[in-house]
Amino acid sequence: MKWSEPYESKFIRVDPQKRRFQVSRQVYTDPKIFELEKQHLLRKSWLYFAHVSEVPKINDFITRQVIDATLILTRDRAGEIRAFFNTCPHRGAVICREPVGSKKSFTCPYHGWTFKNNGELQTQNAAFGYEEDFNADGIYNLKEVPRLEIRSGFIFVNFDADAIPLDDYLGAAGDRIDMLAQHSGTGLEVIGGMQEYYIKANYKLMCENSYDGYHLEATHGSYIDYQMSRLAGVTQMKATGYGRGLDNGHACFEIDIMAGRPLAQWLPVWGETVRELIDEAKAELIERVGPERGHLISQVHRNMVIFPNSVMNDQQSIFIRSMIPISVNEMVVRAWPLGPVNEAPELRRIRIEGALSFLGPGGFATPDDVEMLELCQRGYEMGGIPWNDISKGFTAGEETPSGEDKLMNELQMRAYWSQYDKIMSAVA
Amino acid sequence: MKDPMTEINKATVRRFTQTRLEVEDFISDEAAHLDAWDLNGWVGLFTQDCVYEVTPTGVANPFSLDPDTTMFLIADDRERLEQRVIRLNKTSAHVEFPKSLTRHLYTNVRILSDNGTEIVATANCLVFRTKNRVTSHYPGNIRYVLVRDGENLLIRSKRVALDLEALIPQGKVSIIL
Repeated sequence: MKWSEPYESKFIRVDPQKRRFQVSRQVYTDPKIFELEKQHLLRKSWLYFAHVSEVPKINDFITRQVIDATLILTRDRAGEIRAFFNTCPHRGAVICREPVGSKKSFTCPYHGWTFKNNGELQTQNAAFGYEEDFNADGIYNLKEVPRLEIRSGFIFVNFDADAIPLDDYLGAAGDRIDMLAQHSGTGLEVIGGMQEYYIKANYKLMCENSYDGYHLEATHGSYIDYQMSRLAGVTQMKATGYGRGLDNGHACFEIDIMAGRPLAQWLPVWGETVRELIDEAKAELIERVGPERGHLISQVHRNMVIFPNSVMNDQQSIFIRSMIPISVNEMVVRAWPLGPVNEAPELRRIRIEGALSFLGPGGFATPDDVEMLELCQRGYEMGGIPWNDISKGFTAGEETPSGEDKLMNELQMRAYWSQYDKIMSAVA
Repeated sequence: MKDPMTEINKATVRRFTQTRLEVEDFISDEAAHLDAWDLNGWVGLFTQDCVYEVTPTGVANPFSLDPDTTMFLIADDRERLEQRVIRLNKTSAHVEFPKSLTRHLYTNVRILSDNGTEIVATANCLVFRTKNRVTSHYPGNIRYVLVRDGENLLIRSKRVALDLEALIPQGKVSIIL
């Protein structure tokens, strides 16, 4: 979308001549808008759900909530990954109450209906009372989520049977997901210790925060102080980067910076053994993908939001977040660190350290973000000021969904809101 | 009839009762430092080779996990612990500005071993944090490794395992538990 004329909807207000781009604060506070969002946006978008390494073996399963539904994700007896609504087709009870495990079949605790892990009803646990062909049409099998597709090991679900394919939906963001997977020649795995935490704020605030370069200095001054103490002896401090729209509301900022990471950025504070391991990891990467792509994968740090609620961070560690809306002003964030399968223990330690000290809810940065988001939510609920400003860097003629801008500008968020407005203005 | 095992157990229990009183005094003082936000004083209770850890929520076996292979909520060595305190003492640690009110209850102290130089003890904990007119609870269990330093005790290891499936509704661990 090219912004050259003034535009105003219920959700955004754009004045290219004044270089203003505003978002209505009602999108964070109005329960009616939230209901419309659930129906027309969240239930029709591809939502990140899990990584294939979370169900590594046949019969493995996990259960997890997404929007209003809890799903059972299984690797069934034939090895296929499937997701089912975790509710009994008989009388509705939640069937599986464990978060993770391995099972060939699931038995409903209420009347004992039992389902194979491919969803098929195996038995109603009843000697009489049913016709033999009672489930001939399969309507009493577990209900499968309408769509499940996988990109480079990352599993997405969609509640809309008519949704466009995941690859088309991801557009230019897809290749960046591939880059995450290419960190390793042995595949990625989720590292134990999933984080799950509540924020009393609308879920879109965490999306905005996740690729907001502008807030780093003011919000995270105390983390930057800590990080500087660890960068002793590092000379290459110059950073270059940009914000970029990636089609369909996805966007990222990318920054070529020396911050330390277990793939190719060694810090003196880690010692010489680690240096050799990091050099080896880099050499293996370049050998596998070539120097140009190797540079993009190993040196460029990237914060990316997959519209509308998933975050894929590629910084000191690979860190995935999924924002689950609970109500218009509450969310639960679920976050996982990922690392290469069979990673050297010294590198795994550094990877975990980077993730928990910055991005974790017990770390030196994320708790301050949580505080900021809750302050914003309280501010919106006061009323009085109807619009938020995300004009930084905006110019007449900007092509927001796929454009490029300076690092500390706000193009990423304009890409998000342009897409949001496109979907929501059609239904509200 | 005299049962030698009973005698040994009584002796052990008596010895551990002394240790328990000592440990209870010590961790009650620790709690007082924390509730007063005297974090510099609190760090002074740790050895140079210390660790302070909060295990991830929603795990079955928090005391057998290794922070090098599983992501903890907090896994501080002495250096990061000092950095944590430096940060929390700044007004730019926004989540704790203004400082929240905290109340640390450490109870049910059990001495697992005491070899004269090193004590392994567990305690239940319930920590209250109040900020922005919301009070959050952090229930859990703590495993201490304490060492004798002359007349005093020092913390070599403190691992907190929260009785929580997720940080819902707490949202974060911004205070010291």
